[in-house]
Amino acid sequence: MIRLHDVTLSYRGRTGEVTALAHTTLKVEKGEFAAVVGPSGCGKSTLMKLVTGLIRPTKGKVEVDGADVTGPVKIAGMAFQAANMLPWRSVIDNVMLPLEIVQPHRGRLSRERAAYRERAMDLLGVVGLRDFADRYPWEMSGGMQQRASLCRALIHEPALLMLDEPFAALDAFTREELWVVLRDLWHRLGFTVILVTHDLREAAFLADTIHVMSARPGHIVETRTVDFPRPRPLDVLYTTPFTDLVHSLRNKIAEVRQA
Amino acid sequence: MRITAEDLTPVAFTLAIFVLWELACILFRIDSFILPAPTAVAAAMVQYWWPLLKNSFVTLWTTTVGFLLAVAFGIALGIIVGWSRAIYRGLYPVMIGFNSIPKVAVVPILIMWFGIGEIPAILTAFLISFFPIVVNVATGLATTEPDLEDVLRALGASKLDIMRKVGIPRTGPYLRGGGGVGNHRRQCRARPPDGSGGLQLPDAAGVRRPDGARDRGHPHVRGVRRAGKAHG
Repeated sequence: MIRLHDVTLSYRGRTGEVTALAHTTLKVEKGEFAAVVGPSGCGKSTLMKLVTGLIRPTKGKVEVDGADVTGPVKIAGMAFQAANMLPWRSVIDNVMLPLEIVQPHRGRLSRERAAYRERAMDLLGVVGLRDFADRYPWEMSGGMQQRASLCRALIHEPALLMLDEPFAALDAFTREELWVVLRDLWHRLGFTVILVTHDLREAAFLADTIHVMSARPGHIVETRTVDFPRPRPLDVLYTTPFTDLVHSLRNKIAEVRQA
Repeated sequence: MRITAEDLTPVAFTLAIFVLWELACILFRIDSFILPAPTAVAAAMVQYWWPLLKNSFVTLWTTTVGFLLAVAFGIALGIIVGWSRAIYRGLYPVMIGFNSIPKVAVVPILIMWFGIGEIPAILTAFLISFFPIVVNVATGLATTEPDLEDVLRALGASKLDIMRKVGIPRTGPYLRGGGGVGNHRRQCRARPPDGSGGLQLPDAAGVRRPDGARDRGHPHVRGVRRAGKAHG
């Protein structure tokens, strides 16, 4: 599904050449849930932009779905730390925004609005927001906005979901709730995920594989396979193998921060 | 809808101010030539209702025409300026500069050019509302959240799509504020208490938040009123 072959990205900053990513090689299979963790400023977000084709690599090659990435990939849904809802649109209209942009939905939307609306309502139902569809984003809590943001990222049934620290601004309880929401959405829809996060427990709970990045210039220093059986209940967070995994990831990151 | 005590406060405060004003005029024996009491003003309004109405009508139509022209040209220029960051950054200081010229100072020049009459009035109303509209439209377009832009670009959105779906609508409440359209009121009401939900823009000199939420007294509403005075 996703291949990065020896990718380097550098750009001209105010103080000269900055290398955000150096010789990164990454492989994510179709339907896989991959997490990328690393110290802050290690180029995780750059990685996301490379995969979605928002920026082009300086060296190396990015492949998505067997084709070279030369521009925005159009099969990706994205969600960020800030929910970025449009305040003048109701929740359901925010969720349906991608349908106004992506083909073939764009051409069909006006004719099949009722069917699309139903699809959006179903998705809102999965994340527990069905009753809030006609509310406005500013009437909702941060956690609820983030749920809506996930729906917006998924409404056009993307093959790839890119998440850049989507739960970082939420409190611990809401975060765990949303892990479960994301886990269930992923089981149900079977998309490929790249989740960029600081939260090692989040990565270990959700992902099939965890890629650890080094400090800048970032590259992947270690890849772990997480084989806790699925579906994973939240209780897995409190088992010894889980805490051991988080602990060893923690040590690895401490090590690369030093280096 | 139930009327709460809070809904009545504007009425109560307005009445209170008139009462205080009246009392001050009586207590301090202020000459009606210096400051007429509200009752005297009301009496004059009854007595001269016809000339007042006639002149108000002229003010209304000249300022409306000026405002509509400003909306049309302001949006057009705002879209051009906001289209690219480079144009925006280049022209922003120029626009702020023009906007800081006191419009009242321009009025005598307009009168010299066009004579006394409707045209200088229309132009004054136009000048007062034009720059805030340009600056707001341009700012709304040029400062779309980078994350949101990424979301849309990753979907294959063109620059025009982003303008249509995000840039232009986000300047909408500001513009509608001038017309007092209902949706604007609704946005006024519900401000996210923690400030999390709303898109936010940097405050710049003479620039209002385009979500219209912070202040009910919109600059062009005020502008129109002031222009009316300049004319009358």
